[in-house]
Amino acid sequence: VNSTELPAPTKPDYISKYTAVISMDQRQHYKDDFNGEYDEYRILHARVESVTRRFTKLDAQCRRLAPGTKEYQEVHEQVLQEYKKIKQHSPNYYEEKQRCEYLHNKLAHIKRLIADFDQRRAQSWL
Amino acid sequence: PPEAGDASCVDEILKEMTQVWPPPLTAIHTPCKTEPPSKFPFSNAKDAQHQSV
Repeated sequence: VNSTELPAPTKPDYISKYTAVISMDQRQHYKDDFNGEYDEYRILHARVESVTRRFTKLDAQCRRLAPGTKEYQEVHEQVLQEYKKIKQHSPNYYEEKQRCEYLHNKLAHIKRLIADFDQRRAQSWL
Repeated sequence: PPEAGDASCVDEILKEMTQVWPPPLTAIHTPCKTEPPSKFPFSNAKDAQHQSV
């Protein structure tokens, strides 16, 4: 039977790599993998969060000012300068952000599987 | 990502750089409650087409 459906979007690699936990050994293995990438994730997250916070403040300033005013222009200029700084000093910022997003989703997935296992174990003791 | 140097791109820059960022995941402890869903609210299909400047 020919399918006329569009191809399904590719699943991230961790979806098929990390499946339901059914043993303590598997739980430990998953936890080790989680810990192996957690530090990198936290460093990236802090970095992106700091940049996002800076631009969020500038965005809030822009919204408070009337377009066409000197102050409005100055804040706009600040936004451009900050963005140029990011491009110059952190040319890989975009890739780092992508990597952080990937790690966040992956580690959340692993953590959820472990939590599900722990919950099932706890319920089986009742 | 938008190019700098053009005032009309400020809105694009702010849109790009103020994307919602969920709080960091905590480490795994023994045993813990399920972490609330904290997936990013947007898909990122741009990465395959991203070209660095």
